[in-house]
Amino acid sequence: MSFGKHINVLDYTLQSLLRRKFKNAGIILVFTFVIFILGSILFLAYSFKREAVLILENSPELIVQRTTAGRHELIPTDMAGAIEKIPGVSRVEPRYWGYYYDSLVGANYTVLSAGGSISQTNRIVKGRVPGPGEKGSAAVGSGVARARFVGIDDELTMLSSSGAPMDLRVVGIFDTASELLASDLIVIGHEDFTDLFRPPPGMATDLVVSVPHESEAPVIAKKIHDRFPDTRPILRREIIRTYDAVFGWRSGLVLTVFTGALVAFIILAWDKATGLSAEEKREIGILKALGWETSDILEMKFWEGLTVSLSLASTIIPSWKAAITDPDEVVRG
Amino acid sequence: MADTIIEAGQVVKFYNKGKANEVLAVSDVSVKFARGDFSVLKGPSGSGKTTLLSLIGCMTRPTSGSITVEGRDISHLPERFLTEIRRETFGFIFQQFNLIPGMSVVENVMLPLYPTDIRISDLGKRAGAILESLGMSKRRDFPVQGLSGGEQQRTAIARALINDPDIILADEPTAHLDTALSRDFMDIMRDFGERGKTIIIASHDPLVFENKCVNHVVEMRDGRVRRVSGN
Repeated sequence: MSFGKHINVLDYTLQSLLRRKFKNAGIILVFTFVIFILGSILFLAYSFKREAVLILENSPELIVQRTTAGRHELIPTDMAGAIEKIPGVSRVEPRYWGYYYDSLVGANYTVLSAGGSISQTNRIVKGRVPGPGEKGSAAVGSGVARARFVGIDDELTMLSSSGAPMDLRVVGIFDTASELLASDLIVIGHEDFTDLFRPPPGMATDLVVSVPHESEAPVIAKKIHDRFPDTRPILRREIIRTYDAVFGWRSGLVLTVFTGALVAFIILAWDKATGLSAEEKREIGILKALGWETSDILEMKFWEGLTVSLSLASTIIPSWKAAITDPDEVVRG
Repeated sequence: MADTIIEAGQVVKFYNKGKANEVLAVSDVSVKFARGDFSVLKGPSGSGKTTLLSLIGCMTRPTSGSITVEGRDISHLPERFLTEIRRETFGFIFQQFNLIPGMSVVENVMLPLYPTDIRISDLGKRAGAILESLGMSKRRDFPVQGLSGGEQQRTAIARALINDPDIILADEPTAHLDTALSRDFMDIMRDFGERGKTIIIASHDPLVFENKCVNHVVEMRDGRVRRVSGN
């Protein structure tokens, strides 16, 4: 088969499309919309997941929480010494964090005491993160900064658990690129954290366990659980998997909402392909009777599908069915 | 008899064979057409004329029997070869003219040769020359749906001639035409007959089968050939 023939068939196809320009323009419009929606959802969900994975890459391999009656409880810090003795564990640090309800703007913040693990995420901060021993300083998420209209060097007032106001100077703002996880975050020095929440002495929110060889983390987690049955060791990859599931589920939900639009489009595309029906089927019959081969018809429909919707599967099969009809049908009108 | 161009031997054609709606359209038909013949397949509706024309024109294959076109048995050829023969040997004029609406006269005339290597510009020139010979030059770029019946007919004739066929097949070409246009059509066909084309028309119109230029009449009824006259 030579090149000139394909050019001629393409020429004919484009003429055919122009004959039905309004119908085809409508299909292109709907198709563009559907692709836009699907693309947006998929890209957004992917970017959420990717963002979470990137941030969690710097998080500890293992976190140990204590549970009472299935609920998260504070954990004794002296448990750290026992865990540190487990082979494969390089370091155990207590972590202090909690939730703070800001009645002024009606928002919940996550407040984290500055420590070794948070300093690893410095890359996502404008300005700096307060040191563990620093007093009166805070690094806030961009969501907090927006809600409270604060910038670097501004004052952020919070109410301690005793009801006394605490003035903190904003020394850093988490970058907007990490807004997904850090939007509601406030990082403060340990002394400020103690003033704010007054946790019982010798107790931390959870323990951060550093495991240099991550492949050993599941075994270490099991050992911790065996030794301290009231604890719940959480692996980093479990958190990543949870984020994956959460965002996957959300994008799935949006996709489900748009299933109607998708189905409508498929019906439209199918109708376009089989809407061959009377007019187009007759045209194919005429072309076949005039000496077009089945392959020529399919080529025409291929060009058509490529041009209009790139939805080959929905166009080519019904076209093939029409193309293999006996040409003498057309003779009978 | 002159050089045989088409020969049908004991041709049988069933539609929907083995199904409840099985139809025996042509039964045991044997007939010959000589090169340069002006033939008419004559008979009432349902007599098998159109089916025989379709079989001769390689548009459908016989259930049994043989059909030879220019010495080549086409009864068992694959579709690709049938298409090639159809495109190279035959020009078709259909009962409804079967022009594609939305396209211009010249584009409709060019239709049979799009899937070939002939350049579009050359095709246009060839179509233009044929349209001129049929007095249709002025309508060249006119959309076919706006043509009168006579003009549509001439466009259909021009399309049948674009591949310079040896054989012109026409199925009830005068069914939708008044007497003047039917005579006009027959005059054009006679002209092509005189230029050596073989013409086979399926018709039950006396204006066609009683025309002086017709030299071969195959009379059909109930799918069988009842009588052959001429030749």
